[in-house]
Amino acid sequence: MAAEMDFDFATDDEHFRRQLREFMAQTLPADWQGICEPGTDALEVSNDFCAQLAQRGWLTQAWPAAYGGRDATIWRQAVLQEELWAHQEPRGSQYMNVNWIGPAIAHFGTDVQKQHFLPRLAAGDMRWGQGFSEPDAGSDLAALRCAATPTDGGYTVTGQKIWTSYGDLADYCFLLCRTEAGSRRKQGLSVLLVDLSLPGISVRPIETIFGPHRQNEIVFSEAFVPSAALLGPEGDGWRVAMTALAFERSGSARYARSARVLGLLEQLHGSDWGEQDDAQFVRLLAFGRVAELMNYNVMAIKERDEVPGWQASAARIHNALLEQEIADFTESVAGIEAVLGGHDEAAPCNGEIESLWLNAPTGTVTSGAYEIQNSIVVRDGLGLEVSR
Amino acid sequence: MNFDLTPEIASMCEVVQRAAADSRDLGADEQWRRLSELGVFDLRGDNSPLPGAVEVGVVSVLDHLGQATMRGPFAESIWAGSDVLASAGGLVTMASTVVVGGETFVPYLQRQPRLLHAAGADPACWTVQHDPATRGADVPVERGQHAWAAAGGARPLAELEPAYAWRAAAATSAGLMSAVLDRTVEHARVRTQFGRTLASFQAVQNRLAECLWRVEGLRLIVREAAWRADRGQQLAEPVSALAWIYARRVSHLVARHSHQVLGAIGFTDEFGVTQLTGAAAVQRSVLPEKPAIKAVRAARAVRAGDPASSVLGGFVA
Repeated sequence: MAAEMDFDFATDDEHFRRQLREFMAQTLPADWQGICEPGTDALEVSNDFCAQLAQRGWLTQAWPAAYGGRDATIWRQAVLQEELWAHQEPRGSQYMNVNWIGPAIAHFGTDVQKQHFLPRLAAGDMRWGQGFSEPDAGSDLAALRCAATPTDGGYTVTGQKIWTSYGDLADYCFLLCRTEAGSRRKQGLSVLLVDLSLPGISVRPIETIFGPHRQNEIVFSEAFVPSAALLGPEGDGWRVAMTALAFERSGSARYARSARVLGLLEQLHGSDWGEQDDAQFVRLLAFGRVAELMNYNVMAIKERDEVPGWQASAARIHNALLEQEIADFTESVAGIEAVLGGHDEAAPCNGEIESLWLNAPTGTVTSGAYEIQNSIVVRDGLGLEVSR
Repeated sequence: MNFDLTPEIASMCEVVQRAAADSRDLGADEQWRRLSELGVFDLRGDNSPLPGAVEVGVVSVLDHLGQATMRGPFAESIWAGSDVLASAGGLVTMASTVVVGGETFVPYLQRQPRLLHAAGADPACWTVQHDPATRGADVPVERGQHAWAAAGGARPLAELEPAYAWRAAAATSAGLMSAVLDRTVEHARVRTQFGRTLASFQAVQNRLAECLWRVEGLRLIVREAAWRADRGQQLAEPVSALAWIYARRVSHLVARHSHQVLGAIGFTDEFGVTQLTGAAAVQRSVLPEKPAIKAVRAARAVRAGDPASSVLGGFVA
């Protein structure tokens, strides 16, 4: 029997939301601004926070109990993602563990891999980096060249990955590489779960305007990776990676931070707004609600045990464009306050508004550029042949 | 959460859309008669074919009528209901004769909606005027009133309950823009320039993709507004307002993208897109944005402390 139409979270999920907010208020420092703020405390705060979440059974509660979860609904997980992302994602890189690395291992992994990785991910004591982009393979990911040459008992990996967020903090890398010499494009690729402490692997941070840990490059110099690291069938890595990405695309509840920042702007300036600002604010609320619904729609698809298709890309586009429109609005109504970061005493809300403003342009670039997401919409939603 | 239509509503929408398509060549009178037989104008009545999901049914049907490229005062007619239509002496059709109030308009005015608008014409009537089916017919037009409206039963969209008008207009926009997108995609598939189809250019694909995800998002918020209205929730009004505010943006944007992709052919009468974008433009002019914005602002609850992490969390509970 089909489920009834419903646009609200269940009562117990809203109860969990209140519990979680109380927990965050008690656990996080008052000036918490995320893991990428300068200083070493942020990492300790994040690690401790994840461990406490795990102890409460909240970190991976939507996973199957067999893998350290509680078989909670995807909606319970959505509440977690919304509240954490809205509050500068205290999990740091571990949001990836929950959103797509763990599910990908559960989906494609061997029993040994599941037993090795999933309990540790659920305990909140592992950090991962994504090894996809290369200097000559960004949006055109299928052009990647990082080679994993089969050898006795494993692979010899040589190549370079770049733009790896939190790579300098990572214990493991979800590596997409070419295991078949001479193969082209999407053929001959595989995913390896690589221990970054292995010899022949080095990580170099890249300085950007976004603060530490955000961007790194990983260099593999004839690093030996055991065959047990192979995730899914050898040579089928493109499908493995794309399925993993489909899990991830609406995983980050960026829309929740947008709603929160709109609320902050309303608190700070709303009573002074003229007609035009009022109108633009309400238009953003409309777009924001649509973005939420697009994301919830993807979750509903996941809840039916289906892999989201173009709707996931569409949801991600909504999230990214919403942030950018709010950033524009912020400049209009907050003036100089919009660009004062958390390190500035005059910054409102500990620089939270500036953080959205600063990061907004990245939404249409990272984790699949705007054009790539649109090409998926065109291919799967309109049935057109993709052209680039 | 679950945003899917119930099988009953989905089934009715499918039947309505098929009836509209099948009767396209039979004229507007026959189209409206068939819709009436299917219970479209009873949706909000005591004998609604979709009890318990009246408003979701209404917006879904309006959306599908738009997809079937049907234009006309459907939202007004559904609000008025079958009884009122019957008391008006017959069904209102897109080609229905309108009472003449001592003044006769020459037929070309039917192709000049702006002139009708300037004359203070009834918005419901306005949507009738640009239909190729009535082109050339000597249909008299009275300043602003359909026969059935003159009978005292039905009112134009702008005079209906605002929340109903907002979500009904938004639903109609979703359907119309969906039809515009379908026609634009079809043209882009076959039209060749520089040795390639238009659809093979990434710049064109980006426009088409945006149309699809905008309409999809619009459809969700319209459905939500109706779902909350069916439950008598206080949030139904601001969400309906948000739906209309977003619909205005979407219909503007889809029309712009469509015309850019279609080029000159898109402006011709025979291609048939301007009639659809025109109908959406009519709705935008008769239902201005400002009252919807005011309704949303009035419903906000600005509290001190940690703001909500969701849009609706910022409204009065």
